[in-house]
Amino acid sequence: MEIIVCIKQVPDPEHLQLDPHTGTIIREGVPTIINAADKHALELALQLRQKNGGRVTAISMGPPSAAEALKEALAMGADMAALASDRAFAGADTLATSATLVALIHKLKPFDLVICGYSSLDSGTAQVGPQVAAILRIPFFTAVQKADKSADIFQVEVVMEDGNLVYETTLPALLTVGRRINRPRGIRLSEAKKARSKELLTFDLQSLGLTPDTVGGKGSKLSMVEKIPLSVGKGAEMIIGEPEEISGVIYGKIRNIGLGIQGGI
Amino acid sequence: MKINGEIWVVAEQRQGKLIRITLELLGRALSLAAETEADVGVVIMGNKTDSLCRELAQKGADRLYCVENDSLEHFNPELYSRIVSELAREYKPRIILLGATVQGSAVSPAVAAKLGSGLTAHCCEVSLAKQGRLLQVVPSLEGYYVFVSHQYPEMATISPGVLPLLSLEKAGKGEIVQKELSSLSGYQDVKTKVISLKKSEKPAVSLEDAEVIVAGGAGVGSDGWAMLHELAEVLGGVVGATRPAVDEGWIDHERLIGQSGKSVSPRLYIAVGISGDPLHLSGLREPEMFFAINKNPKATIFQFADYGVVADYKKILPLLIETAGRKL
Repeated sequence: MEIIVCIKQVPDPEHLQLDPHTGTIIREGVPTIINAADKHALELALQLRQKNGGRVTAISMGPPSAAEALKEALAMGADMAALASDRAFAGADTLATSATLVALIHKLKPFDLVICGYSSLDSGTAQVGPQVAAILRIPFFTAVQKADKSADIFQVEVVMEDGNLVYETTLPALLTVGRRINRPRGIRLSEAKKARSKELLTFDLQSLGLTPDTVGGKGSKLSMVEKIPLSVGKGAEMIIGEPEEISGVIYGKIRNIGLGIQGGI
Repeated sequence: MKINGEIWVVAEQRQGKLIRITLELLGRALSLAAETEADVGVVIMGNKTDSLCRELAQKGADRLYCVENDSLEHFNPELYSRIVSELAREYKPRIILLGATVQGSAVSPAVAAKLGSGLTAHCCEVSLAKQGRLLQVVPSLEGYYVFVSHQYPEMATISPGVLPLLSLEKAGKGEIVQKELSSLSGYQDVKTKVISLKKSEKPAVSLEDAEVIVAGGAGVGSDGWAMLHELAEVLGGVVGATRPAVDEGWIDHERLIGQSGKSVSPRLYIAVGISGDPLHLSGLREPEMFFAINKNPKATIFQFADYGVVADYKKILPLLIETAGRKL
């Protein structure tokens, strides 16, 4: 089974802070990580490889520094990696990103499965997976909880609001997975050593055969026209004192609006 | 591309009943349509669609694009997105609105990619600019972003529960456009088959109807949730959570409030260990009383709460549980 895993390098949310003066996110100097859900995508790929044989290729679009995320994926056990990196790719909306990833996928060997994280920690649109599938014209499933192959049938279980739906499809297909599907493995020293000799390919606009007007900000169909900063609320009235006093004041206020007794009054 | 100016809603049904977000979207589509003298179209896919078409027509839909087939009883991402994109290619709507549900979030990007359209996700508001472009407001960590699309159809998913549920009493033209599934281009290429629906056995937690919500965030940590549940129980409420808490696996996704989760309007909201960014707060509508408990005195949430407590919640909650419990 040839499996491609899409990986996004994102700022570590634990280190994100708002600038107290401008109310905007401070992006400089924030450490980056592999997007959380993408690690679960990689874990699923590694498990499917274990069962069915084949290879796992981690791919990403991003600045040259995104190679670090791919190196981490190699250390987790991916067989090879490929990065699409070019200044022309900057400012892409999800559709321009997906078109670039598809161009990268076409540069690799034929594949059976593409796996992505359900959504990213930074923009969280959950759009890139389905868009990559739509451009590749392959079946896709989001929020996948289970995926298994037996003979020629690929079975997928998806989490819906009111239960799980079970599907069968043929390969190639694309899956997106959330963080409940599995527990991603850590990096073992032996794998990390092997990772240094694994292939990490880099492609730019030209080597992907793309043109500037189909990628990045220019190829995007969406523009941000306004940023509405965090409105400053009126500010809370602070309740101070010893825990007993605080708890008493809170309970008094809750009772004042007729709540706080089970079933109301 | 010539645009006929219709504003579309992609309806969502479960076991033959429309879900609430569809009516929220229809209400907004009707008000956008009134501004532009446009018609409102609704795409309906399912195995029994007659009564849904009638209901939507009575509530104001002008045109019902109806695809009925046994294979459409349950959501099929590949098939549903093909149907919506084929219908959009043929009838060229100006705007397509979908719910930010599992279905809408899967169908919309695939359709946008097939049509070459821009698409925003989890909008909390959509309105028309003076030039007629759809302004799409998306909550973010640092406030709200407003997007416009350069390509028709303009497409957006809207979070369930953020738009008001209007009483839609004025009937629309109600013209039914019945489409055979087999007449749609590419239908025979669809590879995905629905095998079964395993209905959830747990009773659903209804955050939307709760009067009291005790919500926890990253600051709760992995081990304090029993305390939040206990407090919610003695106050006759339920527990909600933020994205980081759900992502850590501390609590089920069905309890997520805010972006890609639920929108709630409780009378009492107690936020525990929540920093208070718009991704979360965009899902909270006008609680009558709003407490925030957080160790960090600079937490944004203190801007928005009615009452704030700077403390370790583990010192406050047990006392509150005891006090409220005693009064039962």
